[in-house]
Amino acid sequence: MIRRKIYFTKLTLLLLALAFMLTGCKGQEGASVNSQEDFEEAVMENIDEDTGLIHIGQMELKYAESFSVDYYQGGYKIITDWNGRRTLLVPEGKEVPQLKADINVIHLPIESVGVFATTAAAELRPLGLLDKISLVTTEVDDWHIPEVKEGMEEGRITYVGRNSSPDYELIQAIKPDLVLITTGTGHGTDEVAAKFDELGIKWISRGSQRESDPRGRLEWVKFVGALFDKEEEAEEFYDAQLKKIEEIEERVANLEGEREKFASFFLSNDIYYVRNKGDYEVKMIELAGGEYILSHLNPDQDGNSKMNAEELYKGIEDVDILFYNNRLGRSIQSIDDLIASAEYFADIKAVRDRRVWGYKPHYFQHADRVADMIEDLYTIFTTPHGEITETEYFFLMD
Amino acid sequence: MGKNKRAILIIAGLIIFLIFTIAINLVSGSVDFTLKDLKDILLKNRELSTLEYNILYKIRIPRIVSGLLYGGALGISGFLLQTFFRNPIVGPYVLGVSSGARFFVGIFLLTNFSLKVFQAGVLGIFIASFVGSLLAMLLVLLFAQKVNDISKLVVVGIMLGYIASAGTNLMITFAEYEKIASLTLWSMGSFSGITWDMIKFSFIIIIPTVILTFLLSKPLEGYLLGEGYARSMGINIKTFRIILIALSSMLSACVTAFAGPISFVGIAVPHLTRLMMKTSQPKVLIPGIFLLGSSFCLLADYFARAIFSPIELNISTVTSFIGAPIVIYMMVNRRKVI
Repeated sequence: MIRRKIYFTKLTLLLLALAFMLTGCKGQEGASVNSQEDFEEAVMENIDEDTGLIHIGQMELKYAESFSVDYYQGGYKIITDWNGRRTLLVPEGKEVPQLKADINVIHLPIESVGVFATTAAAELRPLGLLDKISLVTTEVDDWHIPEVKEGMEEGRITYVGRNSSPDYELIQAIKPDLVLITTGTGHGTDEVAAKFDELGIKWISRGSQRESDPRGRLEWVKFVGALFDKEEEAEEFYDAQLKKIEEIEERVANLEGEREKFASFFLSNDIYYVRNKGDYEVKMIELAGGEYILSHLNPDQDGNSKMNAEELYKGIEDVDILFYNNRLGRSIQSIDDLIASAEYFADIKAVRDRRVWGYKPHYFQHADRVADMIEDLYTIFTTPHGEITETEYFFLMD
Repeated sequence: MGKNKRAILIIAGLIIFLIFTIAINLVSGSVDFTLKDLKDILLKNRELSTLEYNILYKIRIPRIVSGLLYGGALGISGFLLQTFFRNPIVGPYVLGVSSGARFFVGIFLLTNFSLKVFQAGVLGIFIASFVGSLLAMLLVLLFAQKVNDISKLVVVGIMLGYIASAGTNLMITFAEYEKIASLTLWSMGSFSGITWDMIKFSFIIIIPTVILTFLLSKPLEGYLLGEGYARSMGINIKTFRIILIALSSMLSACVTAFAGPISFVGIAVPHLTRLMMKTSQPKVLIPGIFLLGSSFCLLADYFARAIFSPIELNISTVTSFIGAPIVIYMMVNRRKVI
């Protein structure tokens, strides 16, 4: 439906452009413009060089910046990933056009998909596509998505080893139509992708983790939508989630009084990894009504900055609420553990008030529930301390 | 038993052992083939399905060939260095080759530094590793021209390794959390994901280098009998030393580039071969070391992928478990066989 809409819009635009050119010719005395040539030029401009397909539109993306989807006549689509790699999606029953460049070709429909990251499964969930998963690189005990766990226990989904060195023989035997893999992270997956190429296993690089806005990460559901011809469902889902986030933003804007200050970090190998001001998680907590206490910390960068205990203490001494990511820094699971890591942390305001929140185990496997997470965070900021000890995704540390 | 007869018997035994390790790697995996299947495939009495074809020709055989090439290369590389230093406890990475490679891979993985050559997709990491290994080797060669005392050169090599490691650690200090894991992963080595393109490149480097080493058997023997004897044979000691280091580093640089640093093969295999063959004659030892190195790596790779399948162990985890006891044995029962 959407594709048809885009097609007609584009066609109307082309006709309008043609009409404009024709009337323009009349108006411009002495100008020798050949309308047929101009029309052909207008069409030529829309022809994709690599495939010879006529471009009719592009997927509208509000926040995501690491992928794009282009639509072509005949129901063809081209997805361009963060690295510029192009994937041509060929609709069912259609031929692969004559290709002038080395381009990844995937035939639709995709019935079986390999998942090399738990977040990829979370992106499949809202579109009802979890039953398409045939192989994963996360062991059954580490899954918090019941459908996947169940699929593994029933033998429908196979664990194929770690994502940096999977069992290629198993994957070859399962022969998925597509593997969703995260490349460019340096975790050995680029080598895996090269081996997939040699084996003729189709893969596409996902990269929601490259988005520095939580709404951009959420928008990757549209990427999955394009792969499975479920653009409409993806857009509906995304718009509903976005609306939910906007409603929270409105509520936050109407809040009276000063915003509470927060910080977010985790400890690994004696180094504190503190969220940059430009990180997606900070934005998520800010959308829920918090004010980041380390506002000077790399406002233009996603990810974390390293700090020692002293430096961190100096920066967050007066913080109202602490978010400690106990899923990434597993050595700390309680306030006592936090104090044990640096005794003087006991004097941090949030620690004194015992307002340290941890992350529940299923947090990272619910990338499609960003709006709910923001709602949870809003609840944490607006509920008087002591009234709640947990939400769906967070828990108050003992 | 005569030395030659013993050597021939051992070489024959090593060939049989190599065939055995190739066979277990060929038949075992997620899709099982029996030896009869293999025989039928070889004699073209059996048609392969696409799945079987891909598993055999695109997964198992490239992996076996890489184990064969890299194991042999590491063994020969270690042998050359042990000959050079007249010390059975040195390995291919003693002169900072792996530290140099790790430093350059670190630049590639840990920092935002980018060069066009490093952006060559998956090849970037191999290029970085190869360049790092060769630069470390060139530095050692530079010092080899100035330092006559071999033990001093070992110290120089170790110091260069420390400098490269310090550089890597410096990068780790400032690197992002996720990127550090990548370097750790690379540092452990693996044959997983080896492609035919990588093998072709490795073949071009490893086979001529090994043949050249074999052709140098006579001067190597002379060198082992003492510098005075070597000089009397007309060997230019300084040049010969440089050739030894260059050949050894070339081999280990190639392995490191494609499979990451693999520990213990270079130390344990040459010594074990000497113990078995009870000779120091290079013309006999070189084929023996290559065969044992290949078998050792293939066996280690079999365990790496079979023990916790489908989780794959890193190759160095297995080679170290097997190699370390051998090194301890060597230290305790050190014999003057060199």
